[in-house]
Amino acid sequence: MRRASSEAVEDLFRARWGPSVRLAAALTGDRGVAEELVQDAFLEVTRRWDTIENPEGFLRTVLVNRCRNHHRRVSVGRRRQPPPPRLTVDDPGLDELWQVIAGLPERRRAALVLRYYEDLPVGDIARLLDCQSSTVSSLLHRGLADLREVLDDER
Amino acid sequence: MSAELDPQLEAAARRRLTQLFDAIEVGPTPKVPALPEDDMTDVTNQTARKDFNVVDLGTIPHPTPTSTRRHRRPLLYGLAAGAAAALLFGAAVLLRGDGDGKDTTGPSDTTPSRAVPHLVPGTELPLGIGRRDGGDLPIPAKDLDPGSVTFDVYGDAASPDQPFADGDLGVIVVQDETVGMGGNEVTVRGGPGRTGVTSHANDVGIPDTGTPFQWVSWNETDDVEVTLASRRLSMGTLRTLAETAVVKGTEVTIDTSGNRELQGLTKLGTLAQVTFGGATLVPGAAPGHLDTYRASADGPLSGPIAQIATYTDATGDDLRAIQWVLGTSAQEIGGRQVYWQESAASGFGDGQAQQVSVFAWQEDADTVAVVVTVGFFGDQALAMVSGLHEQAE
Repeated sequence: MRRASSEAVEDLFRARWGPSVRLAAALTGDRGVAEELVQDAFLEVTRRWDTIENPEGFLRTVLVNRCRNHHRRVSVGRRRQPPPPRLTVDDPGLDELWQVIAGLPERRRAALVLRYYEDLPVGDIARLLDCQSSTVSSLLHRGLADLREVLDDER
Repeated sequence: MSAELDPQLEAAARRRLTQLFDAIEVGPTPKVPALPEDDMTDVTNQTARKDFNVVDLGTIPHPTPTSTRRHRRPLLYGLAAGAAAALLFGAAVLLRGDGDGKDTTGPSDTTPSRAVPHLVPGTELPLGIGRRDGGDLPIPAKDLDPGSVTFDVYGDAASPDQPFADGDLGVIVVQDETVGMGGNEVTVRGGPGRTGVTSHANDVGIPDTGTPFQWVSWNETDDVEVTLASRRLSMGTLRTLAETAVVKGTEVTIDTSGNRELQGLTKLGTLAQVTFGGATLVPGAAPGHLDTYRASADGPLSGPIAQIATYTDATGDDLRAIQWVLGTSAQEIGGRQVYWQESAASGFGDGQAQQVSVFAWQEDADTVAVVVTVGFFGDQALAMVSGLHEQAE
Protein backbone atom coordinates (compact mmCIF):
# COMPACT_ATOMS: atom_id res chain seq x y z
CA MET A 1 0.00 0.00 0.00
CA ARG A 2 1.50 3.32 -1.02
CA ARG A 3 0.74 6.39 0.96
CA ALA A 4 -1.01 9.31 -0.67
CA SER A 5 1.89 11.72 -0.14
CA SER A 6 3.87 10.20 -2.96
CA GLU A 7 5.98 12.01 -5.50
CA ALA A 8 3.25 11.32 -8.02
CA VAL A 9 0.81 13.43 -6.04
CA GLU A 10 3.29 16.26 -5.88
CA ASP A 11 4.01 15.96 -9.60
CA LEU A 12 0.31 16.12 -10.36
CA PHE A 13 -0.10 19.06 -8.02
CA ARG A 14 2.72 21.01 -9.68
CA ALA A 15 1.54 20.19 -13.18
CA ARG A 16 -2.16 20.84 -12.67
CA TRP A 17 -2.28 23.64 -10.10
CA GLY A 18 -2.28 26.49 -12.59
CA PRO A 19 -4.61 24.96 -15.17
CA SER A 20 -6.95 23.83 -12.42
CA VAL A 21 -7.14 27.29 -10.87
CA ARG A 22 -7.84 28.80 -14.27
CA LEU A 23 -10.56 26.23 -14.95
CA ALA A 24 -12.16 26.83 -11.58
CA ALA A 25 -11.93 30.60 -12.04
CA ALA A 26 -13.59 30.24 -15.44
CA LEU A 27 -16.41 28.23 -13.89
CA THR A 28 -16.92 30.28 -10.73
CA GLY A 29 -15.77 33.73 -11.81
CA ASP A 30 -13.70 34.18 -8.65
CA ARG A 31 -9.99 33.44 -8.50
CA GLY A 32 -9.89 33.34 -4.72
CA VAL A 33 -12.72 30.85 -4.57
CA ALA A 34 -11.05 28.93 -7.39
CA GLU A 35 -7.85 28.46 -5.42
CA GLU A 36 -9.80 27.21 -2.41
CA LEU A 37 -11.77 24.77 -4.53
CA VAL A 38 -8.63 23.47 -6.23
CA GLN A 39 -6.96 22.93 -2.86
CA ASP A 40 -10.05 21.07 -1.74
CA ALA A 41 -10.12 18.99 -4.92
CA PHE A 42 -6.46 18.06 -4.56
CA LEU A 43 -7.16 16.99 -1.01
CA GLU A 44 -9.83 14.67 -2.36
CA VAL A 45 -7.37 13.30 -4.92
CA THR A 46 -4.88 12.64 -2.16
CA ARG A 47 -7.55 10.98 -0.08
CA ARG A 48 -8.61 8.68 -2.93
CA TRP A 49 -5.21 8.18 -4.53
CA ASP A 50 -5.13 4.43 -4.12
CA THR A 51 -8.58 3.88 -5.53
CA ILE A 52 -8.47 5.95 -8.70
CA GLU A 53 -7.18 4.89 -12.10
CA ASN A 54 -6.89 8.32 -13.63
CA PRO A 55 -5.92 10.96 -11.07
CA GLU A 56 -6.02 13.82 -13.56
CA GLY A 57 -9.48 12.90 -14.73
CA PHE A 58 -10.62 12.39 -11.17
CA LEU A 59 -9.21 15.79 -10.24
CA ARG A 60 -11.20 17.42 -13.04
CA THR A 61 -14.39 15.60 -12.05
CA VAL A 62 -14.05 16.60 -8.43
CA LEU A 63 -13.16 20.17 -9.32
CA VAL A 64 -16.09 20.63 -11.70
CA ASN A 65 -18.44 19.22 -9.06
CA ARG A 66 -16.97 21.56 -6.46
CA CYS A 67 -17.44 24.53 -8.79
CA ARG A 68 -21.02 23.56 -9.61
CA ASN A 69 -21.82 23.08 -5.94
CA HIS A 70 -20.31 26.45 -5.18
CA HIS A 71 -22.55 27.97 -7.81
CA ARG A 72 -25.60 26.33 -6.28
CA ARG A 73 -24.71 27.65 -2.86
CA VAL A 74 -24.31 31.21 -4.03
CA SER A 75 -27.07 31.23 -6.60
CA VAL A 76 -29.74 32.42 -4.20
CA GLY A 77 -27.43 35.09 -2.88
CA ARG A 78 -27.04 36.60 -6.29
CA ARG A 79 -28.70 39.80 -5.19
CA ARG A 80 -25.85 40.42 -2.82
CA GLN A 81 -23.12 39.57 -5.28
CA PRO A 82 -21.10 42.35 -6.85
CA PRO A 83 -20.75 42.50 -10.62
CA PRO A 84 -18.40 39.83 -11.96
CA PRO A 85 -14.81 40.86 -11.25
CA ARG A 86 -12.43 41.57 -14.06
CA LEU A 87 -10.38 38.46 -14.51
CA THR A 88 -8.04 39.42 -17.21
CA VAL A 89 -5.70 41.75 -18.98
CA ASP A 90 -6.46 45.18 -20.30
CA ASP A 91 -8.37 44.07 -23.36
CA PRO A 92 -11.84 45.57 -23.76
CA GLY A 93 -12.88 42.74 -26.04
CA LEU A 94 -11.97 40.11 -23.48
CA ASP A 95 -13.61 42.09 -20.71
CA GLU A 96 -16.80 42.24 -22.73
CA LEU A 97 -16.55 38.51 -23.41
CA TRP A 98 -16.12 37.85 -19.69
CA GLN A 99 -19.16 39.94 -18.81
CA VAL A 100 -21.26 37.84 -21.18
CA ILE A 101 -19.77 34.55 -19.94
CA ALA A 102 -20.32 35.53 -16.32
CA GLY A 103 -23.98 36.23 -16.99
CA LEU A 104 -24.75 32.86 -18.52
CA PRO A 105 -26.66 30.10 -16.72
CA GLU A 106 -24.26 27.83 -14.87
CA ARG A 107 -24.61 24.76 -17.08
CA ARG A 108 -24.33 26.77 -20.28
CA ARG A 109 -21.15 28.44 -19.07
CA ALA A 110 -19.72 25.13 -17.89
CA ALA A 111 -20.39 23.51 -21.25
CA LEU A 112 -18.66 26.36 -23.10
CA VAL A 113 -15.65 26.36 -20.79
CA LEU A 114 -15.21 22.60 -20.87
CA ARG A 115 -15.63 22.38 -24.65
CA TYR A 116 -13.70 25.40 -25.87
CA TYR A 117 -11.19 25.97 -23.09
CA GLU A 118 -10.61 22.48 -21.75
CA ASP A 119 -11.16 21.01 -25.23
CA LEU A 120 -13.14 18.07 -23.87
CA PRO A 121 -15.28 15.89 -26.12
CA VAL A 122 -19.03 16.31 -25.78
CA GLY A 123 -19.39 12.85 -24.21
CA ASP A 124 -16.93 13.70 -21.45
CA ILE A 125 -18.72 16.96 -20.76
CA ALA A 126 -22.02 15.09 -20.55
CA ARG A 127 -20.56 12.82 -17.90
CA LEU A 128 -19.18 15.77 -15.96
CA LEU A 129 -22.47 17.64 -16.09
CA ASP A 130 -24.50 14.47 -15.48
CA CYS A 131 -26.63 14.85 -18.58
CA GLN A 132 -27.04 13.49 -22.09
CA SER A 133 -24.69 14.39 -24.94
CA SER A 134 -27.59 15.98 -26.76
CA THR A 135 -28.10 18.26 -23.79
CA VAL A 136 -24.48 19.36 -24.04
CA SER A 137 -24.92 20.02 -27.75
CA SER A 138 -27.97 22.10 -26.98
CA LEU A 139 -26.14 24.01 -24.25
CA LEU A 140 -23.25 24.70 -26.64
CA HIS A 141 -25.65 25.82 -29.33
CA ARG A 142 -27.35 28.25 -26.98
CA GLY A 143 -24.07 29.36 -25.45
CA LEU A 144 -22.49 30.14 -28.80
CA ALA A 145 -25.59 32.09 -29.72
CA ASP A 146 -25.09 34.12 -26.56
CA LEU A 147 -21.47 34.79 -27.47
CA ARG A 148 -22.10 35.48 -31.13
CA GLU A 149 -22.24 39.23 -30.81
CA VAL A 150 -18.98 39.58 -28.89
CA LEU A 151 -17.25 37.04 -31.12
CA ASP A 152 -18.38 38.47 -34.43
CA ASP A 153 -15.33 40.69 -34.74
CA GLU A 154 -13.11 37.64 -34.42
CA ARG A 155 -14.62 35.65 -37.24
CA MET B 1 -32.41 19.01 -30.59
CA SER B 2 -29.95 21.51 -31.90
CA ALA B 3 -28.74 22.42 -35.33
CA GLU B 4 -25.14 22.01 -36.46
CA LEU B 5 -22.71 24.23 -34.65
CA ASP B 6 -21.08 26.96 -36.69
CA PRO B 7 -17.41 25.91 -37.13
CA GLN B 8 -16.25 29.52 -37.52
CA LEU B 9 -18.05 30.56 -34.38
CA GLU B 10 -16.64 27.55 -32.56
CA ALA B 11 -13.12 28.44 -33.66
CA ALA B 12 -13.57 32.03 -32.50
CA ALA B 13 -14.94 30.85 -29.18
CA ARG B 14 -12.03 28.47 -28.70
CA ARG B 15 -9.48 31.18 -29.50
CA ARG B 16 -11.00 33.94 -27.39
CA LEU B 17 -11.92 31.81 -24.38
CA THR B 18 -8.38 30.46 -24.33
CA GLN B 19 -7.01 34.01 -24.41
CA LEU B 20 -9.45 35.05 -21.71
CA PHE B 21 -8.79 32.27 -19.25
CA ASP B 22 -5.08 31.83 -19.95
CA ALA B 23 -4.70 35.47 -18.93
CA ILE B 24 -5.86 34.69 -15.41
CA GLU B 25 -2.86 35.18 -13.18
CA VAL B 26 -2.15 32.27 -10.89
CA GLY B 27 0.13 32.55 -7.92
CA PRO B 28 2.96 30.13 -7.17
CA THR B 29 2.01 26.56 -6.56
CA PRO B 30 1.48 26.06 -2.82
CA LYS B 31 2.51 22.97 -0.91
CA VAL B 32 0.52 19.83 -1.47
CA PRO B 33 -2.39 20.01 0.97
CA ALA B 34 -1.91 17.61 3.83
CA LEU B 35 -4.64 15.21 4.79
CA PRO B 36 -6.16 15.70 8.20
CA GLU B 37 -5.06 13.00 10.65
CA ASP B 38 -8.49 11.40 10.60
CA ASP B 39 -8.24 10.86 6.87
CA MET B 40 -5.06 8.79 7.01
CA THR B 41 -7.01 5.88 8.43
CA ASP B 42 -9.32 6.15 5.47
CA VAL B 43 -6.39 6.18 3.04
CA THR B 44 -4.68 3.18 4.55
CA ASN B 45 -7.92 1.25 4.67
CA GLN B 46 -8.46 1.53 0.96
CA THR B 47 -7.66 -1.74 -0.74
CA ALA B 48 -9.67 -2.07 -3.92
CA ARG B 49 -8.97 -0.13 -7.07
CA LYS B 50 -11.98 1.04 -8.98
CA ASP B 51 -12.88 3.33 -11.81
CA PHE B 52 -14.14 6.51 -10.22
CA ASN B 53 -16.65 7.41 -12.85
CA VAL B 54 -18.52 4.14 -13.07
CA VAL B 55 -21.84 4.25 -11.26
CA ASP B 56 -23.23 0.78 -10.76
CA LEU B 57 -26.80 1.14 -9.63
CA GLY B 58 -26.77 -2.47 -8.61
CA THR B 59 -24.35 -1.70 -5.81
CA ILE B 60 -26.32 1.13 -4.28
CA PRO B 61 -27.27 0.26 -0.73
CA HIS B 62 -30.97 -0.44 -0.53
CA PRO B 63 -32.98 0.32 2.56
CA THR B 64 -33.58 -2.73 4.64
CA PRO B 65 -35.89 -3.09 7.57
CA THR B 66 -34.38 -2.95 11.03
CA SER B 67 -35.63 -4.18 14.31
CA THR B 68 -37.00 -0.78 15.19
CA ARG B 69 -39.24 -0.69 12.15
CA ARG B 70 -40.45 -4.26 11.82
CA HIS B 71 -44.06 -3.21 11.66
CA ARG B 72 -43.29 -1.62 8.29
CA ARG B 73 -41.67 -4.62 6.69
CA PRO B 74 -44.37 -5.15 4.09
CA LEU B 75 -43.96 -1.58 2.99
CA LEU B 76 -40.21 -1.82 2.76
CA TYR B 77 -40.26 -5.12 0.96
CA GLY B 78 -42.60 -3.53 -1.49
CA LEU B 79 -39.69 -1.46 -2.73
CA ALA B 80 -37.70 -4.39 -3.96
CA ALA B 81 -38.16 -3.33 -7.55
CA GLY B 82 -34.98 -1.34 -7.19
CA ALA B 83 -36.76 1.84 -8.06
CA ALA B 84 -34.57 4.82 -8.50
CA ALA B 85 -35.10 8.52 -8.52
CA ALA B 86 -32.88 11.36 -9.48
CA LEU B 87 -32.91 14.81 -8.08
CA LEU B 88 -34.33 17.33 -10.36
CA PHE B 89 -31.89 18.96 -12.74
CA GLY B 90 -28.71 17.06 -12.23
CA ALA B 91 -29.08 16.35 -8.58
CA ALA B 92 -29.22 19.97 -7.56
CA VAL B 93 -30.18 20.59 -3.99
CA LEU B 94 -31.15 24.13 -3.33
CA LEU B 95 -29.45 25.92 -0.52
CA ARG B 96 -30.88 29.23 0.41
CA GLY B 97 -30.67 31.72 3.19
CA ASP B 98 -27.56 33.40 4.46
CA GLY B 99 -25.66 30.20 5.09
CA ASP B 100 -23.65 31.62 7.94
CA GLY B 101 -22.63 28.20 9.14
CA LYS B 102 -24.69 28.25 12.30
CA ASP B 103 -26.89 25.36 13.25
CA THR B 104 -30.28 26.90 12.75
CA THR B 105 -32.26 23.88 13.84
CA GLY B 106 -35.49 25.11 15.32
CA PRO B 107 -37.77 27.95 14.42
CA SER B 108 -37.11 29.55 11.08
CA ASP B 109 -35.33 32.85 11.09
CA THR B 110 -37.56 34.03 8.30
CA THR B 111 -41.22 34.91 8.32
CA PRO B 112 -43.13 31.72 7.57
CA SER B 113 -46.18 31.47 5.38
CA ARG B 114 -48.70 30.86 8.12
CA ALA B 115 -51.20 29.07 5.91
CA VAL B 116 -48.73 26.38 4.93
CA PRO B 117 -47.66 23.74 7.47
CA HIS B 118 -43.96 23.95 8.22
CA LEU B 119 -42.61 20.43 8.72
CA VAL B 120 -39.61 19.75 10.93
CA PRO B 121 -37.93 16.47 11.87
CA GLY B 122 -39.12 14.87 15.07
CA THR B 123 -36.11 12.62 15.40
CA GLU B 124 -32.40 13.24 15.65
CA LEU B 125 -31.01 13.35 12.15
CA PRO B 126 -28.18 11.04 11.12
CA LEU B 127 -24.53 12.05 11.28
CA GLY B 128 -25.24 15.22 13.17
CA ILE B 129 -26.81 17.18 10.36
CA GLY B 130 -28.95 20.16 11.24
CA ARG B 131 -30.94 22.90 9.63
CA ARG B 132 -28.47 25.20 7.86
CA ASP B 133 -30.62 27.09 5.39
CA GLY B 134 -34.27 27.81 5.10
CA GLY B 135 -36.93 30.28 4.18
CA ASP B 136 -40.20 30.85 2.48
CA LEU B 137 -41.28 29.87 -0.99
CA PRO B 138 -41.53 30.97 -3.70
CA ILE B 139 -37.93 31.78 -4.41
CA PRO B 140 -37.60 35.05 -6.33
CA ALA B 141 -37.04 34.36 -10.01
CA LYS B 142 -33.93 36.49 -10.07
CA ASP B 143 -32.33 34.10 -7.59
CA LEU B 144 -32.78 31.08 -9.85
CA ASP B 145 -31.24 29.78 -13.02
CA PRO B 146 -33.21 30.48 -16.17
CA GLY B 147 -35.63 27.86 -17.34
CA SER B 148 -38.54 25.88 -16.01
CA VAL B 149 -40.36 22.66 -16.72
CA THR B 150 -44.09 21.95 -16.59
CA PHE B 151 -45.61 18.48 -16.50
CA ASP B 152 -49.15 17.74 -17.64
CA VAL B 153 -50.04 14.11 -17.00
CA TYR B 154 -52.84 12.03 -18.47
CA GLY B 155 -54.22 8.80 -17.08
CA ASP B 156 -57.38 6.94 -16.21
CA ALA B 157 -59.48 8.96 -13.77
CA ALA B 158 -61.64 5.92 -13.13
CA SER B 159 -58.69 4.12 -11.50
CA PRO B 160 -57.62 6.44 -8.72
CA ASP B 161 -55.17 3.97 -7.18
CA GLN B 162 -53.44 3.00 -10.41
CA PRO B 163 -54.33 5.75 -12.89
CA PHE B 164 -51.32 5.11 -15.12
CA ALA B 165 -51.40 1.31 -15.11
CA ASP B 166 -53.07 0.87 -18.48
CA GLY B 167 -52.23 4.11 -20.19
CA ASP B 168 -50.26 7.23 -19.40
CA LEU B 169 -48.97 10.34 -21.03
CA GLY B 170 -46.66 13.02 -19.76
CA VAL B 171 -46.48 16.32 -21.61
CA ILE B 172 -43.23 18.00 -20.62
CA VAL B 173 -42.81 21.62 -21.58
CA VAL B 174 -39.38 23.09 -20.97
CA GLN B 175 -38.77 26.81 -21.27
CA ASP B 176 -35.30 28.27 -21.83
CA GLU B 177 -33.59 24.92 -21.29
CA THR B 178 -33.67 21.44 -22.73
CA VAL B 179 -34.53 17.94 -21.60
CA GLY B 180 -31.90 16.44 -23.87
CA MET B 181 -32.47 12.69 -23.71
CA GLY B 182 -30.51 11.84 -26.83
CA GLY B 183 -32.49 9.62 -29.20
CA ASN B 184 -32.76 9.72 -32.95
CA GLU B 185 -33.42 12.60 -35.27
CA VAL B 186 -36.85 12.58 -36.86
CA THR B 187 -39.16 15.09 -38.45
CA VAL B 188 -41.86 16.33 -36.11
CA ARG B 189 -44.45 18.89 -37.15
CA GLY B 190 -42.41 19.59 -40.25
CA GLY B 191 -39.24 20.41 -38.36
CA PRO B 192 -36.39 18.72 -36.54
CA GLY B 193 -37.31 16.54 -33.61
CA ARG B 194 -36.10 13.48 -31.77
CA THR B 195 -37.51 10.20 -30.56
CA GLY B 196 -36.15 7.59 -28.23
CA VAL B 197 -36.65 5.09 -25.47
CA THR B 198 -35.11 5.52 -22.07
CA SER B 199 -35.81 4.58 -18.50
CA HIS B 200 -35.07 7.92 -16.94
CA ALA B 201 -34.54 11.60 -17.64
CA ASN B 202 -32.43 12.97 -14.83
CA ASP B 203 -32.43 16.43 -16.31
CA VAL B 204 -36.06 16.88 -15.40
CA GLY B 205 -36.23 14.43 -12.53
CA ILE B 206 -37.89 11.42 -14.11
CA PRO B 207 -36.49 8.49 -12.16
CA ASP B 208 -35.41 5.12 -13.43
CA THR B 209 -38.32 2.92 -12.45
CA GLY B 210 -37.09 -0.01 -14.47
CA THR B 211 -39.91 0.59 -16.94
CA PRO B 212 -38.67 2.28 -20.10
CA PHE B 213 -40.69 5.09 -21.59
CA GLN B 214 -40.88 6.24 -25.15
CA TRP B 215 -40.71 9.86 -26.04
CA VAL B 216 -40.91 12.29 -28.90
CA SER B 217 -39.58 15.80 -28.59
CA TRP B 218 -39.39 18.98 -30.61
CA ASN B 219 -38.72 22.66 -30.23
CA GLU B 220 -41.96 24.51 -30.85
CA THR B 221 -40.03 27.78 -30.67
CA ASP B 222 -36.45 28.67 -29.81
CA ASP B 223 -37.41 28.85 -26.14
CA VAL B 224 -40.11 26.20 -25.83
CA GLU B 225 -39.31 22.50 -26.03
CA VAL B 226 -42.15 20.00 -25.91
CA THR B 227 -41.68 16.32 -25.06
CA LEU B 228 -44.42 13.70 -25.03
CA ALA B 229 -43.48 10.66 -22.95
CA SER B 230 -45.27 7.47 -21.99
CA ARG B 231 -44.52 4.18 -20.27
CA ARG B 232 -47.53 2.55 -21.89
CA LEU B 233 -48.41 4.18 -25.21
CA SER B 234 -46.80 3.12 -28.48
CA MET B 235 -44.36 5.32 -30.35
CA GLY B 236 -46.84 5.51 -33.20
CA THR B 237 -49.44 7.01 -30.91
CA LEU B 238 -46.95 9.49 -29.48
CA ARG B 239 -45.90 10.57 -32.97
CA THR B 240 -49.54 11.06 -33.90
CA LEU B 241 -50.20 13.09 -30.77
CA ALA B 242 -47.16 15.23 -31.51
CA GLU B 243 -48.48 16.05 -34.96
CA THR B 244 -51.95 16.92 -33.68
CA ALA B 245 -51.03 18.76 -30.50
CA VAL B 246 -52.06 22.39 -30.35
CA VAL B 247 -49.34 24.56 -28.87
CA LYS B 248 -50.01 28.15 -27.85
CA GLY B 249 -47.07 29.62 -26.05
CA THR B 250 -46.30 27.04 -23.39
CA GLU B 251 -49.80 25.57 -23.35
CA VAL B 252 -50.05 22.20 -25.07
CA THR B 253 -53.46 20.76 -25.82
CA ILE B 254 -53.60 17.05 -26.60
CA ASP B 255 -56.40 15.57 -28.65
CA THR B 256 -57.16 12.21 -27.04
CA SER B 257 -60.17 11.45 -29.22
CA GLY B 258 -60.17 9.03 -32.11
CA ASN B 259 -57.42 6.73 -30.84
CA ARG B 260 -58.13 3.45 -29.14
CA GLU B 261 -54.96 3.62 -27.05
CA LEU B 262 -56.08 6.91 -25.62
CA GLN B 263 -59.61 5.94 -24.68
CA GLY B 264 -60.26 6.80 -21.07
CA LEU B 265 -57.21 9.02 -20.73
CA THR B 266 -57.85 12.46 -19.33
CA LYS B 267 -55.63 15.12 -17.88
CA LEU B 268 -55.18 14.28 -14.20
CA GLY B 269 -52.66 16.78 -12.98
CA THR B 270 -50.19 19.55 -13.67
CA LEU B 271 -46.94 20.44 -11.99
CA ALA B 272 -46.34 23.95 -13.20
CA GLN B 273 -43.06 25.68 -13.90
CA VAL B 274 -40.70 23.82 -11.65
CA THR B 275 -37.61 25.98 -11.81
CA PHE B 276 -34.08 24.97 -12.68
CA GLY B 277 -31.94 25.34 -9.62
CA GLY B 278 -35.04 25.62 -7.44
CA ALA B 279 -36.74 23.26 -5.05
CA THR B 280 -37.18 19.72 -6.31
CA LEU B 281 -40.64 19.01 -7.73
CA VAL B 282 -42.08 22.24 -6.35
CA PRO B 283 -43.88 24.67 -8.69
CA GLY B 284 -41.87 27.84 -9.02
CA ALA B 285 -44.68 30.18 -7.96
CA ALA B 286 -46.10 28.16 -5.06
CA PRO B 287 -45.95 29.70 -1.57
CA GLY B 288 -44.57 27.55 1.21
CA HIS B 289 -41.46 26.65 3.14
CA LEU B 290 -38.12 25.14 2.21
CA ASP B 291 -35.47 23.98 4.67
CA THR B 292 -32.14 22.33 4.00
CA TYR B 293 -30.43 20.14 6.57
CA ARG B 294 -26.80 19.10 6.31
CA ALA B 295 -23.59 18.88 8.27
CA SER B 296 -22.50 22.46 7.81
CA ALA B 297 -23.36 25.47 5.73
CA ASP B 298 -19.86 25.53 4.28
CA GLY B 299 -17.79 22.97 2.50
CA PRO B 300 -18.58 20.72 -0.46
CA LEU B 301 -22.20 19.97 -1.20
CA SER B 302 -22.24 16.34 -0.30
CA GLY B 303 -24.43 13.98 1.67
CA PRO B 304 -26.05 13.56 4.01
CA ILE B 305 -28.48 16.28 2.98
CA ALA B 306 -32.21 16.59 3.53
CA GLN B 307 -34.43 19.08 1.79
CA ILE B 308 -37.92 19.50 3.25
CA ALA B 309 -40.47 21.53 1.33
CA THR B 310 -44.16 22.17 1.85
CA TYR B 311 -46.16 24.28 -0.54
CA THR B 312 -49.69 25.29 -1.40
CA ASP B 313 -51.11 23.20 -4.21
CA ALA B 314 -53.36 25.71 -5.92
CA THR B 315 -54.99 23.26 -8.29
CA GLY B 316 -55.22 20.23 -6.03
CA ASP B 317 -53.76 17.92 -8.65
CA ASP B 318 -50.02 18.41 -8.30
CA LEU B 319 -49.52 15.09 -6.59
CA ARG B 320 -50.91 13.23 -9.58
CA ALA B 321 -48.22 14.81 -11.73
CA ILE B 322 -45.55 13.98 -9.15
CA GLN B 323 -46.84 10.41 -9.05
CA TRP B 324 -46.32 10.10 -12.78
CA VAL B 325 -42.85 11.65 -12.59
CA LEU B 326 -41.78 9.30 -9.80
CA GLY B 327 -43.49 6.35 -11.47
CA THR B 328 -44.68 4.77 -8.27
CA SER B 329 -47.73 4.04 -6.19
CA ALA B 330 -48.55 5.40 -2.76
CA GLN B 331 -47.30 3.60 0.34
CA GLU B 332 -48.05 4.17 3.98
CA ILE B 333 -45.21 5.89 5.81
CA GLY B 334 -45.76 7.40 9.23
CA GLY B 335 -49.51 7.42 8.73
CA ARG B 336 -49.31 9.24 5.41
CA GLN B 337 -49.81 7.96 1.87
CA VAL B 338 -46.43 8.71 0.35
CA TYR B 339 -44.97 8.40 -3.14
CA TRP B 340 -41.37 7.30 -2.63
CA GLN B 341 -38.59 6.59 -5.09
CA GLU B 342 -34.89 5.93 -4.72
CA SER B 343 -31.92 6.29 -6.99
CA ALA B 344 -28.28 7.19 -7.11
CA ALA B 345 -26.85 10.52 -8.13
CA SER B 346 -23.23 11.37 -8.78
CA GLY B 347 -23.42 15.14 -8.90
CA PHE B 348 -22.24 15.66 -5.35
CA GLY B 349 -18.85 16.04 -3.72
CA ASP B 350 -16.31 13.75 -5.31
CA GLY B 351 -18.67 12.45 -7.97
CA GLN B 352 -19.23 9.12 -6.29
CA ALA B 353 -22.82 7.93 -6.39
CA GLN B 354 -24.91 8.71 -3.38
CA GLN B 355 -28.29 7.35 -2.50
CA VAL B 356 -31.09 9.79 -3.24
CA SER B 357 -34.65 9.34 -2.00
CA VAL B 358 -37.60 11.47 -3.01
CA PHE B 359 -40.84 11.44 -0.98
CA ALA B 360 -44.03 13.33 -1.80
CA TRP B 361 -47.45 13.36 -0.21
CA GLN B 362 -50.56 15.42 0.43
CA GLU B 363 -49.94 16.95 3.86
CA ASP B 364 -53.41 18.45 4.00
CA ALA B 365 -56.10 19.38 1.50
CA ASP B 366 -54.14 22.34 0.17
CA THR B 367 -50.56 21.37 0.92
CA VAL B 368 -48.09 19.07 -0.78
CA ALA B 369 -44.87 18.02 0.94
CA VAL B 370 -41.72 17.02 -0.95
CA VAL B 371 -38.71 15.63 0.88
CA VAL B 372 -35.40 14.78 -0.75
CA THR B 373 -32.58 13.03 1.06
CA VAL B 374 -29.05 12.49 -0.22
CA GLY B 375 -26.56 10.12 1.34
CA PHE B 376 -28.90 8.65 3.93
CA PHE B 377 -28.52 4.92 4.46
CA GLY B 378 -30.76 2.10 5.51
CA ASP B 379 -34.01 3.38 6.86
CA GLN B 380 -32.61 6.72 8.01
CA ALA B 381 -34.64 8.59 5.40
CA LEU B 382 -37.77 6.62 6.26
CA ALA B 383 -37.31 7.35 9.94
CA MET B 384 -36.93 11.04 9.26
CA VAL B 385 -40.01 11.22 7.05
CA SER B 386 -42.02 9.19 9.55
CA GLY B 387 -41.10 11.63 12.30
CA LEU B 388 -41.87 14.86 10.48
CA HIS B 389 -44.36 17.05 12.29
CA GLU B 390 -45.67 20.56 11.99
CA GLN B 391 -43.56 23.16 13.71
CA ALA B 392 -45.41 24.86 16.52
CA GLU B 393 -45.85 28.59 16.01
